[in-house]
Amino acid sequence: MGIINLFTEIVKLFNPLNLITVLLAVQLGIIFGMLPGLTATMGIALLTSLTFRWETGNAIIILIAIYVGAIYGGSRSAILINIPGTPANAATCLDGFPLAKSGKGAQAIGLATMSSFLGSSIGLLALVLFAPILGRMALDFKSFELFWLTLFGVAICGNLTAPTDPIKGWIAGIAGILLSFVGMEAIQGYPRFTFGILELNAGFSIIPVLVGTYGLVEILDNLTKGDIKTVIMSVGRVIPYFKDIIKNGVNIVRSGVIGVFIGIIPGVGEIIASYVAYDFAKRSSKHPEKFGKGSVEGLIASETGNNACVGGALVPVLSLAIPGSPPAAVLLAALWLHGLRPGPLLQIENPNYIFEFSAMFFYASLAMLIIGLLIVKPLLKILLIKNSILMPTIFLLCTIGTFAINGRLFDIWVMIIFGIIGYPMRKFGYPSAPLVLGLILGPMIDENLRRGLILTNGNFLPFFKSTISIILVVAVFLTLFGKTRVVKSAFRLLFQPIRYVAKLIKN
Amino acid sequence: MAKADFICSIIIIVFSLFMIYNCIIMPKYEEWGLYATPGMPPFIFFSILLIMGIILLRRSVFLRGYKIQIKKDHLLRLYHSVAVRRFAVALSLVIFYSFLLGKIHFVIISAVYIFTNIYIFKGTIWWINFIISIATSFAIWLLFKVIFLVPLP
Amino acid sequence: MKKILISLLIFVLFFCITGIVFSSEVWQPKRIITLIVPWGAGGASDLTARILAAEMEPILGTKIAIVNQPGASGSIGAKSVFDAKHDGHTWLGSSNSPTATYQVQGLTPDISHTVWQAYFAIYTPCIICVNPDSVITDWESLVKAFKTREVAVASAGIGAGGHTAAETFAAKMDVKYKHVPYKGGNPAIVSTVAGETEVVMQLSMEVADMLRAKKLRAIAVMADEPLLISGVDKIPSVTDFVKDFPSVGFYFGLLMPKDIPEDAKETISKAFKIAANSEAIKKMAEAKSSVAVSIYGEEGIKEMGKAASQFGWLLYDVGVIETSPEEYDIPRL
Repeated sequence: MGIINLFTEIVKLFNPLNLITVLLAVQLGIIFGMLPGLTATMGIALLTSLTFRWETGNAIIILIAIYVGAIYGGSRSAILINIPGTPANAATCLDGFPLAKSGKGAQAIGLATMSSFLGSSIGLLALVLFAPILGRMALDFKSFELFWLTLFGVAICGNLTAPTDPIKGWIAGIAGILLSFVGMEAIQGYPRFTFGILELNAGFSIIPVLVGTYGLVEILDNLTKGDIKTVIMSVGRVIPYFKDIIKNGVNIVRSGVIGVFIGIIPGVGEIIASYVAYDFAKRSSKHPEKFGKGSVEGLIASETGNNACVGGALVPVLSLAIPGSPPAAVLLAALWLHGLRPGPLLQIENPNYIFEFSAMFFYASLAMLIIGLLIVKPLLKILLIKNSILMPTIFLLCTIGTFAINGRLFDIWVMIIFGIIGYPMRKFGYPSAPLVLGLILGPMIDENLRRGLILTNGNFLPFFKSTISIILVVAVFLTLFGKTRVVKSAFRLLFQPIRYVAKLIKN
Repeated sequence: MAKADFICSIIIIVFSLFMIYNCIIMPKYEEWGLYATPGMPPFIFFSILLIMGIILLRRSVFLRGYKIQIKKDHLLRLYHSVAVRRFAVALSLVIFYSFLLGKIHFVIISAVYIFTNIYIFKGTIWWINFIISIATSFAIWLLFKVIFLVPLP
Repeated sequence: MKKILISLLIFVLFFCITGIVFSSEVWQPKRIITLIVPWGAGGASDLTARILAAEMEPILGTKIAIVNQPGASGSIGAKSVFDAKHDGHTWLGSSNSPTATYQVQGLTPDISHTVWQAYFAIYTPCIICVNPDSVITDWESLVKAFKTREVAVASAGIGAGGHTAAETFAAKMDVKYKHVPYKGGNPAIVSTVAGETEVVMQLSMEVADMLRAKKLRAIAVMADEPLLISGVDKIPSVTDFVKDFPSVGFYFGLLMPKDIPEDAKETISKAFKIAANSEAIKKMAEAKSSVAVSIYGEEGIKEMGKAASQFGWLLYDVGVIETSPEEYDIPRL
């Protein structure tokens, strides 16, 4: 039923001008995504102002296209220059850049594009078929569940390291969490660790830290190395082989579903989605040792995860008017500005809108696939530009991105300080990915833990009350201790009777 | 790596001890209950960081990471190393640029920054360099300031 | 579709025109105006600012660039507006209450509420709402619940609208409650919808859609007049139950330093007056169940003073801030 409605809307929207608009907007979104510092959130906010007076349908389709394009576009700079364009692509760096370095840049971009498209499609299906049902799930995530979810995020930090040193991953992750505690906290409004500096009241934003630890470190590193290019240039086939996609079918579906679910949870967003998808892929892979050194599976998981999250984040926007991620929050505001009323009333007042919206989302995803696969070869030329010319230009863009997000010079200094800290960190084997993840998780873990305790008057038992909580607790436990001998043998013991019964039946 | 870990772990341990002290002296907001004090989560996470630091220290000590010797010729080699010099120059240009941002017009200071960078790192001959630096700075300014209305320093 | 092309054309023409400097006597913006919204994109301040900016752009003949600069209850953004040149090219898009109390809260110790010239376009009162499954159905049961047990009240944080309303309620009715702060109005409302908290007293603007969808139940509005929201039963005023219950509501709009050039103020006031009476603002006020107002000039300064004393003293009385507002010459109303 839903599919038929979607199909009619897709046909209705089909006209050349719409197609051109979507293609242009997706390309603009990709540019926003590619530039370090300029994020999907910012792109949507800017275009909301620019398209304020446009006809509603045109304006919304542009905003959706920007959203989809920006989340995807970040993968390109992640693959090509090891600088994630948006925080959501930090996990893509882990495998995308090693692939590009070994001369498989074109294939990596092709795969990233394909998996982004497939991720979007899974998100689209969730949006069309299950929006009302899944939307309700957003309300199931209260303080306790969110606390466990964020703890799960902390637990996977040790798995996000390229070398085999989980402890450094956790140190980086915890450092990220602790950094996020700087500034005014949300419960009592006390400025923590600001040491009297007013500027620190707002804390460290994610963008300056991300641009510093990835962008500036990469720039300094490359300028130090000089113009020796280690990249092997061979433009191979861009469009991925069908068999590669099939081989990763399970991975894609799993990452897509993870992305959708994480998208639905209010305020969590694409960043965590791509990390969790990556972590799951690594755990269930037959070649976990390849992760971080150019694993195709890792690249696919992270890109599918973050783009599926876009669709997921839009589910509660349409069904409850609750944004599932920061960019979705701006998109929601734009819908309001254009006189639409997303939320519980939408199904009563304008039940067909969800399909119109999904059709726009479909066109945006399709445009992303087409543009993504077409403009690869010229992009690869970036790798041929001399470091001494390319890097200063990238630094300029980093500065703009950092400044534009809040309009504060202070953020530029934060970026530089994190570049200076990040350089030895990378040399000593501390990964940057958990640091970024920790920075996102920190405020959530802090608020939800304390708020939960306020709600229960200090009692910790209600934290285990709901089913979702228990599932998450088990997940945290298995992530942390699943590989230790004690747990393994305990599990064997636990499943012994079942195995015994199974044996009996078999015989 | 063991030596680096040794130094890092000591920094981590000292830093987390200092911050744990800071967490303890934070206001308690008794009326909310002790479980809701702003110092509680940082206290927990700094304690974890402290434990991690100790584990790292133990590991590096086993690998004899404490055998750190600083000889004169180490420093000399560092001083003469091309990589260190390049790093220092790149970093100081970055800092210099950021320091002047907002004081001088964006296009001018950016063009100067790119020009100096390419000049020092011998990217290309001077007149191409000149064109590249001015064109890039201006194009970026035009794109962001005029078309996207993004605030620029 | 034609509109896109026309807009594009206007867009291109626009940049050609902005190059030409006007030489008339009337003050004209000389460059792009920066409108700093000290909150995240998508909030009440952001929505109001975006609509006002869009309406004022053609009147002033310049582009208005909106920058979201959240952090520290919006004080960081307010400070950067104040630190910018006072020439009428940097505005703040916020509301009366936190802006007027930054000084007493110690967030911007040197910037008093009296430095601001306010231009308010939207007024939104606080509504006492409960989860629809709650046993609280009317004013009596609300008061009874607060008197007999500990009721969890969600708010958007210390000093935010919902918190101020709850404190006013608690002080007036002489009850205690459990304050549960969230990061922003929307999460606070969602928590009440989800049943994590029982009561929320956020702004009418934020709860309107949830009330329409019957995901929240309104008990009373904290204003002198009952509130009519399309699609919802009339919400009674608190003064129907308690005679001298003070109104708790917030003004949203633009703020800028008072000492910008007089002629600039005049031009901006004129443009604001047209924008505040525009269809777009009226439509938004209707959709978001708030009141379209047009407050500027002396009246705007007066409203800031009122907000500083009402909310500053309230925060002091409940112990959120330690220094008395008296030290900043803020009288008790």
